[in-house]
Amino acid sequence: MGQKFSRKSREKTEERRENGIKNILASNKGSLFTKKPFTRFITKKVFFLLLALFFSLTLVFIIPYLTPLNPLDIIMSRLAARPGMTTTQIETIYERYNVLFGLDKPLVVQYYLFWKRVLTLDFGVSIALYPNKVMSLVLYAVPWTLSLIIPVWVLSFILGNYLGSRAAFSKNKIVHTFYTISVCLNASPYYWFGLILVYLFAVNLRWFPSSGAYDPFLKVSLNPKFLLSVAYHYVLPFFSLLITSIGNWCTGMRAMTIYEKQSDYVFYSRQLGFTENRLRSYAQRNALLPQITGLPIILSSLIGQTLIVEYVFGWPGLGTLSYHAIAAIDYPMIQALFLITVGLVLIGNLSVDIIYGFIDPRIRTGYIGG
Amino acid sequence: MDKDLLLIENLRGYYKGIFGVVRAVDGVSLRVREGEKVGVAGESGCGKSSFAQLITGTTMPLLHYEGGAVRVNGYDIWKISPEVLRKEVKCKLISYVPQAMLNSLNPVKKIKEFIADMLRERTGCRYSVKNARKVAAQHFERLGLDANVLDLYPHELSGGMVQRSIIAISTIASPQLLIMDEPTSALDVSSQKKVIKMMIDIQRKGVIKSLVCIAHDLSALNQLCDRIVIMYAGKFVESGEGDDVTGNPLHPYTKALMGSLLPLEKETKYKSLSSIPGVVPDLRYPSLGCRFYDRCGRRMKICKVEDPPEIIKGKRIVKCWIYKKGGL
Amino acid sequence: MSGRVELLLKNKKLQVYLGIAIIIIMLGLVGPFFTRDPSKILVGGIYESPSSEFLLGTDMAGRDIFAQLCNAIRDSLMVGIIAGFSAVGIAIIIGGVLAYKGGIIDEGANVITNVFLTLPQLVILMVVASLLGKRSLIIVAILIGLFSWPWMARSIRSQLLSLKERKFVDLCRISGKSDFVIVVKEILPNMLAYIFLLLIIGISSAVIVESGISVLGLGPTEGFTLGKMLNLVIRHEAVQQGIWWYFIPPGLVLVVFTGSLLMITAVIDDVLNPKTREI
Repeated sequence: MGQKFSRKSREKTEERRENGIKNILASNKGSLFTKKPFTRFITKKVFFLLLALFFSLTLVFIIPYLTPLNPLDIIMSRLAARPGMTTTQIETIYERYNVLFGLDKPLVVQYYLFWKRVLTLDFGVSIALYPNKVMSLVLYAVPWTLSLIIPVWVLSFILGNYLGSRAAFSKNKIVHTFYTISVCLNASPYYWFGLILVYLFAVNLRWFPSSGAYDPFLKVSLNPKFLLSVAYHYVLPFFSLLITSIGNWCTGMRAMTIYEKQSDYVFYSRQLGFTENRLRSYAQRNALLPQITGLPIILSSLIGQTLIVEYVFGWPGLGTLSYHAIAAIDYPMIQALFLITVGLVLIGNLSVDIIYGFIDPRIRTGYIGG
Repeated sequence: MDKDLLLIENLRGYYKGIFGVVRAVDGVSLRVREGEKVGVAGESGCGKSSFAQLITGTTMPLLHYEGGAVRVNGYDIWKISPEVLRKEVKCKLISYVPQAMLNSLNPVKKIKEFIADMLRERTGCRYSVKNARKVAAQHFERLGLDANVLDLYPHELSGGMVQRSIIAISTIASPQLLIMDEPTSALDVSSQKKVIKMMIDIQRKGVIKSLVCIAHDLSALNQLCDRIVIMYAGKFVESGEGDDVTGNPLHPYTKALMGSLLPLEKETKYKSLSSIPGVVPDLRYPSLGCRFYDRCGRRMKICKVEDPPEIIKGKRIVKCWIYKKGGL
Repeated sequence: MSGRVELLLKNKKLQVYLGIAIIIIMLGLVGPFFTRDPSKILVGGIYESPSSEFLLGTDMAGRDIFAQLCNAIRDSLMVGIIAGFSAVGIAIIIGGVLAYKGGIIDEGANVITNVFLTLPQLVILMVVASLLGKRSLIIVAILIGLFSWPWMARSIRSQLLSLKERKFVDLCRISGKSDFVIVVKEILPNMLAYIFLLLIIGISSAVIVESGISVLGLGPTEGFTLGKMLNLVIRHEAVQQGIWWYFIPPGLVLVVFTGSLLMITAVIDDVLNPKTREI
């Protein structure tokens, strides 16, 4: 009896589904994707971004208050240690900071002031690099960091996945050696690999400079001489990041490609007489999709490594700036740096999510199953 | 009309892995004439799907060809180079329809894009998606499918539509022989009906010449096919005209199979179903005698030690000792 | 279960990698007892190259580098192990127990996990570490663990959800035990191998993260880790001066140790999970 029921209801759902599909076909002819599932998807991701930002910024705000240190006292003692500061100067700065940070006010008000600072992007003056404004220092450093991290992020993805899928398809010893080396190097601290590169290429072979981003005697501008000097200094830090990041993708891609190689559609396509090259590209393309979802996580870890590499190489990006800020316990700078860094990472993640939404047709058409 | 389209002689295929060697297909022979529809029936695990793969020349990774000949139109599938197999035989002479797993079509390509790829691969010409769609739409509509399906992604279709699209795709180049592996097993009844109708159509309309259909549903096979072959544990045990085999089964296994089917006639409403006792033998260590020995109700001493011969009477073939002495 | 452990131990590759890892661990555990005091200055000359007396030479203050290495391995290991265990512990609670409870608790835990997952771990660690005055080894270890659990929690959750559907869990639920007990006593044993893998990866990544923050001077304020060694290397520009016996060993130990741990997980995964085996 139960059997009869389920058979009938299955038939009915099948009929309904076919009719539904006919309706969609009739109405949606020519549209690239049905807008509703896609915008829903993006809205969800933006919401998470804002939530993450809110949460991490609150964290940065709260922690100083959890320590027994009073931030302003430290700032003041640091400032007082500077030569040539008169008492009146110190007092005016103290007042200004008090107003800006509202340290005499209750916690809730300070929280509100904190958010005001965040939203207007005005963090006042830096202590470590007085009298420069915090935001201008930070914004100057951003392009330097981006120039390192974005090419490495993208290139390591391309190269790493390429290596992984090659390792899945061929038994070539060379390919497998590269594969193993990449995975092992990936386990190393990226900055240490940078040190090795410096030792080999800068100290011994003297092909590249060991630190800095440009010849210190050149002015920062966009003329070719300067850009060339930057390029010259760029090589070592770039490669120390790139070579070690490739291994992030190798194992995953290799496993995914092997998995896709055994899938039903590859089998069927082979039956239809597809060339092995085309089958390989099918498997690779489908294996690549889930790899894209790994990009945000890799970006998060990459930014940390990049900051340290910058410090090791004296590259004037957010990393070196963070080091100075932390060494001087420059609170305004630390907060601003944190905001910008986390913001960049989250924006990077969001871009990946959007791109993935475009690439995977299953997201576009609202397919939720798995 | 009497020309042999497909000739299989003593085909063997084994699965090899760390589990040992499984003799999935152990010496089967089959003859399919032009215009014939042959059904291969049997339980799960008897080697039907492996058999289908061995005919097409493309097997899943663990299955290995061990011997025997598969001849189509002058080509011996396993003796020619893979390139000749790909270009001349696949899709043109023999085409294959897998079971409709939803993953049988590339999930990131629209159906028309997939067909465009296929045409490009096969003909070596540059086919734009638009042209491919034109060609495919013509073929789809000829077979009674809505051509708008071509614009969709595989996951947007229901199981029945996927199966019918796959049948259409496999027959685009009008192959002479179509091999279908469990075409209706994963579908509900109304989709099954549509698929069966399509299978009858493609032969009637001359899209294909002969059909080999592999399934476990004997009654459905009987509706569709002229001849039925029963497979058990890697060997063929009986074959003959469809109505003959189902109406008058000779081999004990066939009898047991017919007895375990759900009858749809009114009179048999209160008859209980019988199942075949025991399990399918472990094909890593097949016995030297009849493989059905352990589960056979009519077994004899000789069945255990010697492989039964094939007894031929007209169009019927039975592989059983029972019929040896007195003949059919 | 013991059959699988036997199978693993017989694997040649595993033996090699395990051997390498154990050698390094031994250096860290036993080494400090057999070497000189690493903080004693001028036991040898300044920047002496390796010799039979000083296996890895001396540093800029004449201290024995090999002794430093052994002590550094020990402290780094300690941080790594504590961090690894804390991360796995948190992950089991958030990805395991809370996910098991299902419903809104699971949804909430999932949201928290996803938010934490996208935050850059090192950056947050740097900021938090800078705001703390004194950092003991244990505090640093717990901090690292506090920010490493998200991806583990996610993996545990997905494993758990697939296990939850199985029949034996329903039986447990009928038995009336509390959710926490069910997770720990019934479900976890099934995931033991997987959790073990997570632990190994956690330890190896924690060691690397610790070295990262120590290089910047944000590591433990007491104790001596491999990262702190490298911090000294950079501060005193040992690379530019070509003192290879000073900056190569700490990094090399890190690479070899984490590399061998990762290879161990790869072998375990390969042996216990036949689906990923290449046919």
